[in-house]
Amino acid sequence: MKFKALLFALAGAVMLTGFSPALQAQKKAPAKPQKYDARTTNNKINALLNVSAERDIQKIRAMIADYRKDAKFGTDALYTFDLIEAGLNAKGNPKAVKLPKTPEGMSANAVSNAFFSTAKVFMYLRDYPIAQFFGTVRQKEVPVYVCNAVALAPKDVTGWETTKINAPVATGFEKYNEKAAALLINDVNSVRDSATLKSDKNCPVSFRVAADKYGISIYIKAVTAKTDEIFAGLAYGGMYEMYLQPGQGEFYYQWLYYVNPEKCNEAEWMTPGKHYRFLKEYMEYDSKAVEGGIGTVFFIPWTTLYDRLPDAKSEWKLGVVPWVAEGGFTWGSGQVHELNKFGTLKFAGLEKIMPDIKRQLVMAAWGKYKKENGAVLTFWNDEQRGDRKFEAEVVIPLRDKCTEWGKLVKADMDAATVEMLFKEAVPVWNEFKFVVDDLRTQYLQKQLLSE
Amino acid sequence: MKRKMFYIAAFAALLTAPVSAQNLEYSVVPAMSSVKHLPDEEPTDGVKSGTVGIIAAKGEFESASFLLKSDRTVKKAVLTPTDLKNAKGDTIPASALDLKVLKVWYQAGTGWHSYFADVTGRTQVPELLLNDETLIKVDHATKDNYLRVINAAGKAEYVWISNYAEIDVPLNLWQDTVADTPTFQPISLDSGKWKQIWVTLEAPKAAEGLYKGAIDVTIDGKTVQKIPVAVRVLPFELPAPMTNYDLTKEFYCGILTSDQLNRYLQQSKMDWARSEARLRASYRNMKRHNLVHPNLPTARNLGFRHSTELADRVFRRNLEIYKECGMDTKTLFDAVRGIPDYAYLKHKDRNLPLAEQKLPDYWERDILAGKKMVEEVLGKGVTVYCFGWDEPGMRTLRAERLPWKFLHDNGLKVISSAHSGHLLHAGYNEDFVDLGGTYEKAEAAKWHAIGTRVTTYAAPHTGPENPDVVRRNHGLDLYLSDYDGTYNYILNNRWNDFTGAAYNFRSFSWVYDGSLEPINTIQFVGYREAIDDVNYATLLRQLARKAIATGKTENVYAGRIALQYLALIDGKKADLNTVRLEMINHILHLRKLVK
Repeated sequence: MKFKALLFALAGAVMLTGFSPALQAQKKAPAKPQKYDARTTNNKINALLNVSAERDIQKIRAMIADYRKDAKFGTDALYTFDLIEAGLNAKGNPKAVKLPKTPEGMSANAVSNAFFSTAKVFMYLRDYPIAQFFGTVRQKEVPVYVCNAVALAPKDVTGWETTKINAPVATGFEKYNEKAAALLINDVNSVRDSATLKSDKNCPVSFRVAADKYGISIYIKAVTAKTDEIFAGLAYGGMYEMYLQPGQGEFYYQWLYYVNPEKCNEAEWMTPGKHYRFLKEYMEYDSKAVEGGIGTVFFIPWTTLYDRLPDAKSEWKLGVVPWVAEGGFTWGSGQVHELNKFGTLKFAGLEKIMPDIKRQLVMAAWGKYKKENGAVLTFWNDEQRGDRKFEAEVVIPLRDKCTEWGKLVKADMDAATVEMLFKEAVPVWNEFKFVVDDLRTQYLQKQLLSE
Repeated sequence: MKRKMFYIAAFAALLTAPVSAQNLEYSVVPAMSSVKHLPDEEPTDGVKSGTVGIIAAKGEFESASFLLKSDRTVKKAVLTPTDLKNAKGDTIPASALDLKVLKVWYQAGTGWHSYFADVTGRTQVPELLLNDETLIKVDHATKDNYLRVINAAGKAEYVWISNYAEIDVPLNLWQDTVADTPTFQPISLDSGKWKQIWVTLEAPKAAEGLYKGAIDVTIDGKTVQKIPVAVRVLPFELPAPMTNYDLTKEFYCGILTSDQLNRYLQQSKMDWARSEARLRASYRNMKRHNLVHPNLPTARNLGFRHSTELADRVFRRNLEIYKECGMDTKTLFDAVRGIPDYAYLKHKDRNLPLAEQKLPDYWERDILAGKKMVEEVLGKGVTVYCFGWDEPGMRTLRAERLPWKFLHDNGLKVISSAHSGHLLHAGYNEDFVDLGGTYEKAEAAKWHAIGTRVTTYAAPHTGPENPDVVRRNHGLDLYLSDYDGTYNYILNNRWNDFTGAAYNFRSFSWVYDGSLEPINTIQFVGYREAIDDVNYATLLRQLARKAIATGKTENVYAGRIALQYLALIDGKKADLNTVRLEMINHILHLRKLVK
């Protein structure tokens, strides 16, 4: 009993005095400091950036030194300080940057942010080689589709569904705007997988492309179990946002095709002239139910792009951005209009069919001229509304030249004739109105600028 | 060793050899064109060794252009225009010809075509009109642009302006001075590369007829090329632009801009002299580009909340400068509040019948104060279009009914960015709408039927450099679609084209902000020409009407033929350079008939 009482007394004393071996051990260990939350850390980094704006390196170093004494900064911030100091130590020479090891477990996003914050310090310092070292985003590889030239490419849905031509199914769709995948720091020492991740394999849309002597045929197939509902207007049929750029720095076509109700809108980014034509005046399109889904064809005749015919070295940009019930996807990556992140379209075997393409274009241009020149010729011949002097001096000689060229157009014309007509006659036949406008401008300018 | 020295000397001599006329060539190209002239590409639309020709009405600004190429690198070529003389010996002074170099730099991969950005793609685009081409340094290896600034320490340095959004830091034009030189500087020529020169004439009002002169190209003190210049000053001035559908209705030339005194004062930490000078420079530049209806700051809603007195002083001063710089003071856009605060617009009371709703307590005070200040500075009778909520949702649009009624009750008008969906909820109370996106004649007709005037924005936004697109979509094509003018977004934006980020937009810029004055672009020239096209069309219509009014069959026919020409123009496809000359042709003919 006495012993029991003693135990109780001891326990009471512990409670009163707080004495207990475990408790004492706890008290002796230094309290773990609470780390700054993301917002506070950001504010502190921003304060460092504000100091950087003063472009005083010693102040930046001093501030980092102060920050390092503060145990509340987390791994991400400390890594940022390491990077900044590595940048400062390099003294303007990016090759001299000794990158610190990326802390284990740091997320790709956090690493990106550390690099970008560091780059900003050097942006403020106007030390651009170092800013570029830390702030450059490496471009992700884009998918490439090799469009084969074939004898006859399908130009409708049924044709594509039954064809045996060599037109592989394109892969490489990503979920639209996967930001993490787009960011990749230009750092060969750090592994950042985010930029090479295949973020999604569930895009229900695929496409194939083929070319023949008439043009380029793009076939899109959407796998869906709701074909009937879509064509009945009871389910969303999706929209394909399409881009085609015939070479770097060139104009690009953008068209939005709605499956049902069917609608195709072309964005007018250029004004038609001798070197540019609206796609909507040439392209054919159609959607149909096929086994397992919906097939859609876009056929772009070479007449649209006769002055930009591709060759084996050409790299065109093709954007295929399906907005379907499953979400938005893009072939390649990036956002709308990001041509450089879209896939690349290359061409194989085109040189073999190029003579046929040109022959076809010569005949089409001659036909177009014959169909359209009447209105132009009639106008200038009109004694009231036209100008017979201009007609005599300029229009008739041009018309005669066009007619002369036209006499050479025959089904069996030789390759040399085709080549000559393609080079000389086709641009005039196709753009007759614009050519006459040019000549008219020169004619009137000459009149107004002479005594 | 001797042989080696000889080769070195010979090579050095080759490099520094004077350039003769034979190895300096030039090609005259249309200034307004869809053709993007780049240093490595032979101009497809040029006239080699041609005459630089300018045809302009009295008082009109008109541009011409040519490209220069040397077969060897030239560090310093001096281009000097001569006086222009007519047969009688009258002179247009050389100073009336303004020379600029058309700077080619790197823009987003969609450059020239779109206002959306392709920031990782970089393409060469001719855009900036500079006196000193070294204001921008281009690194062709990395496709980066650098902007020269004079820093706070007074030292020149180049600032990188091609970085991505993630590492962007602000450029403060009040600390770093960004300025072109006041006069045209010598240019350099890289061997075998074309460089485009832009020539702008301000045709003197007193001049008339044909004048000839030259632009001398001098290298190493020797004139190696005399590029002939011919100018025709037409025997008339251009009228103010009027609409296609009604010759008595003005075609408004507006844009949204951040050129406002309050903004400049806030940025310059209340440096009144600098801020006023900067605003003046912007307004004068707008005026030279036919832009006379930019939005004004909104009275009582321009910051300075701590002091109504200061806010009012800033607003009045802005109006005074606006007037002083020749902007149109008959019709103002913005200036007086058109929108209450967000909390008011979203309040559940907005669902009540109109008679049971209340106006915000500040509404009457702010509106009447704004109106009073406009009248005090500009006089009575000014039409003020007060801006409603930008791109409002339909609930917001309905919430604006009562405040707008107050505006109408007090002689003010309403402008709202809109689309045809507004006609379900508003329309009758919108005096002016700025319709987004593609424009169509049928859409204009709907609004006109209820007495609403119509402008457009985002068709496309500013940003694409192609001057022909700007000219067409703000000029004849829009005019022929019966729109009442232009009100695009936005005049001036950032120097960097690669910071599109979330919205993926390029820099929406017709001008780039300089510390002392804006830096112009060929897009803005496209706008000037757009309005000039409308001016010519207006004159043509006015003269045609006069000709028809004579009743003489010959004149009636001439008038109607001119109108027929105008009516049949395909605004999307017509060659606007040809159209301009045809309009001049008709105008000259009609003038003879109605004299």
